[in-house]
Amino acid sequence: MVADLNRCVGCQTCTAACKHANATAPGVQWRRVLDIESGKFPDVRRTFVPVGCMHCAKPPCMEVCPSTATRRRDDGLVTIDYDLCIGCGYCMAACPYQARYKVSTRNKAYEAGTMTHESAGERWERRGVAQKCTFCIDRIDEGLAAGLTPGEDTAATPVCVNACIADALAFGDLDEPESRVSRLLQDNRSFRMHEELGTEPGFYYLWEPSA
Amino acid sequence: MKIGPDRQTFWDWRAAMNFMLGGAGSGLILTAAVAMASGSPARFPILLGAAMVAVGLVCVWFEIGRPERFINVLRNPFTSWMSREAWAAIVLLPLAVAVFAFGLPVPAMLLALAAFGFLFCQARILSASLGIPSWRLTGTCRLIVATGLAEGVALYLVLSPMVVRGGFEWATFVLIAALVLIVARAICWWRWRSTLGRRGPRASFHAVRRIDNVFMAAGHLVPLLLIPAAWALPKLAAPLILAAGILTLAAGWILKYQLITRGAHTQGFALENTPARGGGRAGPGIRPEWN
Repeated sequence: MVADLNRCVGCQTCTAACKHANATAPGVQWRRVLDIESGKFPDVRRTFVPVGCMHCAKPPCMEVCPSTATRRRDDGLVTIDYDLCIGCGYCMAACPYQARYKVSTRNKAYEAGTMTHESAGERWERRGVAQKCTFCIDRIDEGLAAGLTPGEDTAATPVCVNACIADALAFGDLDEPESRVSRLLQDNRSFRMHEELGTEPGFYYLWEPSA
Repeated sequence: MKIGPDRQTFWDWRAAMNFMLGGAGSGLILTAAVAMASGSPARFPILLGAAMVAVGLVCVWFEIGRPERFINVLRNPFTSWMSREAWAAIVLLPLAVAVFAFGLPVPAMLLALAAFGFLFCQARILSASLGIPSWRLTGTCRLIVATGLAEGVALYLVLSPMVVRGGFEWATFVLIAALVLIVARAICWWRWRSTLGRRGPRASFHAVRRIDNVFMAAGHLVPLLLIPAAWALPKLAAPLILAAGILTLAAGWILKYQLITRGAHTQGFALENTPARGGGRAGPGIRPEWN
């Protein structure tokens, strides 16, 4: 995935779309947008930074997972088998991107009771285990099965990318030189967060067009 | 939403108890195994050490989200130090029970090796936590091993009146080992703390700095004075050794409790560069709240 920091306006539509699509519990945001103020007056800046699971090529969460619930597919997606996970939280300690959550309570926002949509969206298999952004893996798999191209066809693309009003998020196959994400990385200068830790994250940030 | 390092909330006192009881328990078994090899009484300390390790693991069992699936912890000994810790416990606990309950002639070195393996796995659990900078520091593993060994010897000293009936005739090596390990732990702590101060989140450094006085003075300097004093004053040896043992043990537990629950902050977020928005120019990177 690629996020263009020049384009992101911090509207949180991606966050809302993710919560809507994945029915995550209150307080859980698989796709978040950081609002970062930096610098000193008068040279101050405000930067909006989409974050979440980086689907690292060398995921530290997978290495530490004692139950083998966390795995990495051949296409680079890092997955969690909710039926194997014991909810030890070790992967949360290993992830330098604070991308993982563990929720042991019911999926409801208010003490008084559960709303209809909350009951409908209750995901029991996620209770008490680690959870994180999947890059909408179901959409990708179903799209591929239907002959669609993730990142090009919306039905096979993560909902956060589809929902972005500023076209700041892009998704696709980095091994395909003509994919949109590959072209964006060719045409812009980019970095990956905490690259010094050696996790080889699969999430790139564009910060300046190439000269 | 916090951008800089934030205190972790996924491991609480229950996880800390595993490191406190497991470290001291395995250290005690290791000490007792060495004592056993030298012909000193060791059965009761071995049982106590095993019980402590087991209780520590039970504490973790209460913390995991799906306790009914606990057996899955054994599935990944290939890369996960938590899995390896569980396997080490599977080897260690039956060996310890065999020595205590049945008086089986388990080779002392085998028991010592299993205890050290468990302790080492615990230390590596922390140092493999890439998302918590204060745990992943190079010196964390050494510090946890050193304090586990020191706590084990200290606990053995505390138990000495019960182990050796009618006096304090414990092997000299235990006292010398206690002195050496207390010094070693102080050195490990000092180096680890310095590294954290240079290359860690400020909040983690401030959290561990809070225990400086009690940890170094009460947990190291006082025991280092009490143990030689026990040699010099044989009539007061018992209370002096007891006090030294309790202080050394308590310091280790305070360190681990603070390290797990208070001095553990996440990596936080950082940007290598800030973007050139509109017609402006790109800005420098940011990494808030780091030393």
